[in-house]
Amino acid sequence: MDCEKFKSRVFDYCDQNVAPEERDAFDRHLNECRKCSMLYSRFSAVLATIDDDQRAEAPAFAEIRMLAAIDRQMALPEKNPRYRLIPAFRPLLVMMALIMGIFIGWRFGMTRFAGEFHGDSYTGSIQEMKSELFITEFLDEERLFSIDQ
Amino acid sequence: MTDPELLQGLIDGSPGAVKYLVSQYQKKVIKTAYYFLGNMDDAEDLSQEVFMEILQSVKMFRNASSLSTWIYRITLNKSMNQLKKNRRKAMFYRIGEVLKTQSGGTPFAEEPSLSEQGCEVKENRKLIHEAIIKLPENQRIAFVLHRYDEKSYKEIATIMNLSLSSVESLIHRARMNLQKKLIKQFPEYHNK
Repeated sequence: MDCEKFKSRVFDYCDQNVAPEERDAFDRHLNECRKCSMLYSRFSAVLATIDDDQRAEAPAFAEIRMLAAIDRQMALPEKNPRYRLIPAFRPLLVMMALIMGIFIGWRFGMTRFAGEFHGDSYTGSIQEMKSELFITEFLDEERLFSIDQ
Repeated sequence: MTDPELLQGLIDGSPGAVKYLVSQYQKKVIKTAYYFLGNMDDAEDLSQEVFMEILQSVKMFRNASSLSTWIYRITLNKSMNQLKKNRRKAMFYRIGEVLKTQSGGTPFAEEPSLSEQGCEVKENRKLIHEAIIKLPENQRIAFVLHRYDEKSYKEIATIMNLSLSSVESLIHRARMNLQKKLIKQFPEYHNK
């Protein structure tokens, strides 16, 4: 018996799922190898929690709470089957709203802010309008500054 | 009350039948859900969903399996769904914690003090529970039903609708995987 063999069968050994003659070899190895002995104690401690969980009891008065919950649920009016379908269509509705938003935004951008001539008036892009305003403002300020001086 | 009588009572909406159903199966349902979820409160909440589902779909029960097998299947399905939800919640929680830490908040809430032994048991339970959760779904169900619920291979085969040999193979693979995962979790074994 070596450490690798022990490691590969430690679950079986903890569960006493090995043949008696094999068990002797496991026992001997455990007496000789400190590392595997430590692995065995850690492994069996972890598996022992399964036994603890098996002994766990359902919470007290769970039956009374359950019957009360059933009564409450039964007293509720049954949902219209039409409304049950709504959650299934929700992602589809969101997608449609998103696509419509993008489409409207795109169309709006094309007509209002694209910077085209309409008759004799020029409707520039927002950026152009901003820079134009800024430059005028800047020039005005510069003029005022020079007058002050 | 026999199973056909109970079923008829449930279909007719008899309060006595509902009470009998709950008294007969609730503890089993809660315990099975607890083995999968690892939390008794969650298991009790889930058991309520299971019984609601039973009452709503009892008319569709076709007697292809026994009533207890059918209830087991509903419990397993609900438990698996709940586990998936919990996993999603845990992911969001972790993201939230990371964001909180980055913005200067405390990373983890302080845990109540526990005795060293209690802490170790808690840690061990967490280790095996996490390892079980990481198993593939079929292996997880077969292992939990066999090791925790002490169901025979034949009962598991009926519940999971599989052959006996498939169940044997699933449980064997689950044990091997768990062994590997657990050994990886023992750093002291690798270091020394």
